[in-house]
Amino acid sequence: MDTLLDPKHNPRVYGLAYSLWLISSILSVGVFIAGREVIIRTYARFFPWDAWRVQTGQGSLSLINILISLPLAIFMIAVMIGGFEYQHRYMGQPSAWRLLARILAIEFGILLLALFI
Amino acid sequence: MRNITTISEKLRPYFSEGVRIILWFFLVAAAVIFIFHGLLSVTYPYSLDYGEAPLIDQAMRMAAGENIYRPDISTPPYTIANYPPLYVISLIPGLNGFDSPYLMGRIISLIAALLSATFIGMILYTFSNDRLSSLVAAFLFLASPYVVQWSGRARIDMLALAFATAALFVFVRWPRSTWAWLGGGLLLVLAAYTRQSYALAAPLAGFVWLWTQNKRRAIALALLVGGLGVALFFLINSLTDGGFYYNIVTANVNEFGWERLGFQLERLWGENWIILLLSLLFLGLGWRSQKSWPLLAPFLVGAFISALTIGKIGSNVNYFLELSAALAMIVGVLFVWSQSNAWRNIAVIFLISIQFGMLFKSSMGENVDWILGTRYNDIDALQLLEQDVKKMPGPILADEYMGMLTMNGRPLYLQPFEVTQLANAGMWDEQPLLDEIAAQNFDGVLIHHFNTWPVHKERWSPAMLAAIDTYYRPVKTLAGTVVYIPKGETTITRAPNPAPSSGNVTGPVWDGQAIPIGEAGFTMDPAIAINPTDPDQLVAIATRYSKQECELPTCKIELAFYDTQDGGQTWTEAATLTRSKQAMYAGLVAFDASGNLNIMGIRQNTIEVNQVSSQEDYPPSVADFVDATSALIGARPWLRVDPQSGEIFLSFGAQEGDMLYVTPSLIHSADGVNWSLISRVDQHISAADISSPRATAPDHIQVLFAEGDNLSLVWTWDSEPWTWPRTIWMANSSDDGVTFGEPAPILETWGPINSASANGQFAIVYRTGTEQTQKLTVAATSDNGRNWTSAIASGDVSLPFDVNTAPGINIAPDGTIDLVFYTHSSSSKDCALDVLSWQMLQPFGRIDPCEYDVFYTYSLDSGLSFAEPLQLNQEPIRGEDLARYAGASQASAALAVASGEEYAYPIWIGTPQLGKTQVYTAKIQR
Repeated sequence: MDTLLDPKHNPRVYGLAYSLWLISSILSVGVFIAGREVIIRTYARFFPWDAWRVQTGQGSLSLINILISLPLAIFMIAVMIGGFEYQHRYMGQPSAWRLLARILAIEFGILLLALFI
Repeated sequence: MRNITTISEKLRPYFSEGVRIILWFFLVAAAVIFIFHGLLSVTYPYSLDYGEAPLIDQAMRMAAGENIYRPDISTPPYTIANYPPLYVISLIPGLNGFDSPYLMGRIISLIAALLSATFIGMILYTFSNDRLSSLVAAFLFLASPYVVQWSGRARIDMLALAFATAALFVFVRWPRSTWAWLGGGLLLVLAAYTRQSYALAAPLAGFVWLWTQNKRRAIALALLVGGLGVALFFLINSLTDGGFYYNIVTANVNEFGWERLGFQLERLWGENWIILLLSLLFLGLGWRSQKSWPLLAPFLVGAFISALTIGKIGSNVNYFLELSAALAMIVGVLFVWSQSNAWRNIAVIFLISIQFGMLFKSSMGENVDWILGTRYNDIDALQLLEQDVKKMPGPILADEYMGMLTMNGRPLYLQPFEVTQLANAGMWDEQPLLDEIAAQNFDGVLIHHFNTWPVHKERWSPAMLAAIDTYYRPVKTLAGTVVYIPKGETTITRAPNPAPSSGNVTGPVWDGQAIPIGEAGFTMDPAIAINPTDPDQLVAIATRYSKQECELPTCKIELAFYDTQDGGQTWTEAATLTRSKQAMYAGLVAFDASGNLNIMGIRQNTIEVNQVSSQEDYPPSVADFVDATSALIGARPWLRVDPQSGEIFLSFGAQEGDMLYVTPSLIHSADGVNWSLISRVDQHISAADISSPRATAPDHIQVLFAEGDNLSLVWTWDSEPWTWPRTIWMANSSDDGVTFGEPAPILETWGPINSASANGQFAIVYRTGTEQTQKLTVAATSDNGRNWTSAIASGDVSLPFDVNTAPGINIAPDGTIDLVFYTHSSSSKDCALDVLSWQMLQPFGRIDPCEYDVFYTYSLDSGLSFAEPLQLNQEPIRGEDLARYAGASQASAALAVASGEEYAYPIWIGTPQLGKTQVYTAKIQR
């Protein structure tokens, strides 16, 4: 009895893998926006006196913005390009599904966190 | 079916790993929130909570060899030591070692919270051998908003909880060890001698747990904890002559409120409903399969019963700490239990993640934004407050910030909340304290306000508040705290209660025709003045929007200036005072004795004045307006002209100290161009407190002219934030407003006031009565507030609570007092607000659903008697037709009346057609 997740190259597997990759790519944009917002918002809530100084070009908020934007952007690019490349190379393999699951879990984790913080 | 099972089997590892990844995000977030909050709390230099300073004070007293458990507090200091001594003792070594006395106490709490989390995790690990479930339980405990909040406070609770959880761990880890019950028992005694309420849940859990392991050890534990606990109690009680019992039992039996309990339980449910449901599941079903049930179920039940005492007045979330520990451990157990089924485990982990999120939301909202955010915003103000406290060498009474004393090594004289509760219960005689307040033995009194909720009424008895009001005066607010200092000598007295209007006053003569001024539009804030040298010349001014629904920048806000040369019969719009892309509003007009016209308006928070002193200057042009001051903040400014000197006076709320304070203030000018420095009354209201909202802004600031260089400033302000009724204050000046004497309270009003002066006579119109039904009353004095008369001016017309529009009042040269006022139409009573709903609407406003009538009355005998009010409008004035700004109806700040020798000209806003307003006046002969 074969199922969709078995390592076989058929159109259904391709369709599912690329659909999930597409979803993860779209979510990665949301993760960039939400993740950046969560961190900046949390920083501003803990250190409002410092966050306000950004208006006069002072404080650490600009630096934090850069520091978090970079890894989030790298993550987004990695998901889009690296994820596609990986799926393409290891189509239908357990490692490919596992990578997709992990990426989606990370993305859902950050987005879920953004709902509360 | 088999296919589904297979797919489920294939998907399971991915979901299982995925949901754990999500959980890790929440665990990390819990750690981040706890650490940041802990660090910011521990390093905060001032008290974070009312209860911190008494514990520091007790440690100071104990270090000095004093008995903190006094059996009798009929003599000062009026302090109570609510808790057993262990935490207080733990503070002593750090009393002199740190800059802030709070630092040591908070570090102890923070470490104790981490220890509690560690013991919770270790208990779980002992039961399950599962690291993740142990971490989940420990971090869920640390994520609790109650734990987050209390772990940064110099309070007893976290240390007590650390002892309790340590004891439970000892019982679980070594259930059959001979010495474990002894060690655990001693830890339970330590917990109970840190906080007495910890003598319930953990001992009960320990006893039931040991009972299931070894009944003899359980009995031994009960004997140890009970015996040692009672023995220590009797020892300490006898050493303190019964003071220990009085302080930790008698003085702790505070009033219980079911409503308070309901509110807190509702909050508990809202923030923890997932783990509460899971715990109920555990409680009901866990006994069959969970070996931890005999420990955790009694702990949960005991903690819940203990938490129910949160219904006591003054209780806080610390009553939920044991419960949080119990819930965290049960969740850990359920986590392990769910692992036997992968999909159940996935569901439980997901639910736990959501629960983490709910706790974060609450913690960030309350602990970070509300508590820490406010406290850190207040640091500059608190530094100033600390300087003020240092300048007061004598005893000071304080509530929230009594820690200002302890942090400067000064003992507390009073714990107002504790003794107020004792006084309310009839267990403490407050008269000696009241006598001391009356004798002004205290250099200052600090009463804190959090917002409009009157917490100070729980902390100070009515008699204490009344005594403070009588013998002290509020001199400033800082960080939500009103600073009172002893009252000095003043000649200003309180006005008496109003008398019914005496005598029969002949009704005014009026043809019944309201005279429209200008065209119907979107006007408000009308003002009117009569030329004393030419009674046929009158001028009026009103703010006008370019559309009914106004909002900048798509709406023009300008001043419409009108005049009449025929005694008010026909009016023309002589000038439109408008500036490109800038609003101009709140116009006022006043003639001096020589017939020179002065016009005031506001442009971008700058008060501008135009003195029209010659025919060439007329009609006025916006180009001729000169900036008078940009110090305006809050209250609407008032323009008045000294009838003797002809000088122009502007009274307003002026900012002081780079927007630190707002003070009732005054500037004056002889030519409308060169203005004096700002002279201030000694009442400084923190601008930050006004916006918090922890203080009321001074309002209706008006100058009244007496003979010579004497003048007075009257205004409304109340130490209770954003509420009604408010106190009317008065301060006198004998040097033409350069300096002012001490402000004194003269009246209390249920609504905005207005005032007028002429020939040395002052008249103030205000509202008396109750929240539901009020009367308009006029208080009058002819000797700068030494003696007053007060009479009801609104006759049989009743006024509901309405603080929108002040009545208009004026005094004619012959001493006749003219009065014009709005009240709700008889058909429009249900729309009236009360204080609470007004407070809630205050930030947003509303579309006014009410209808109004406008009345005129007058007095010929200096305000002793008034004519029966004459209704001026034929059709009701509809609130929903008033102009609106940002969706809220804009009522006029005040009505006005011009008073000539023969005629009075009241001015008001009517609504002649749908969605439009019209300025009206009437020519009334008295």
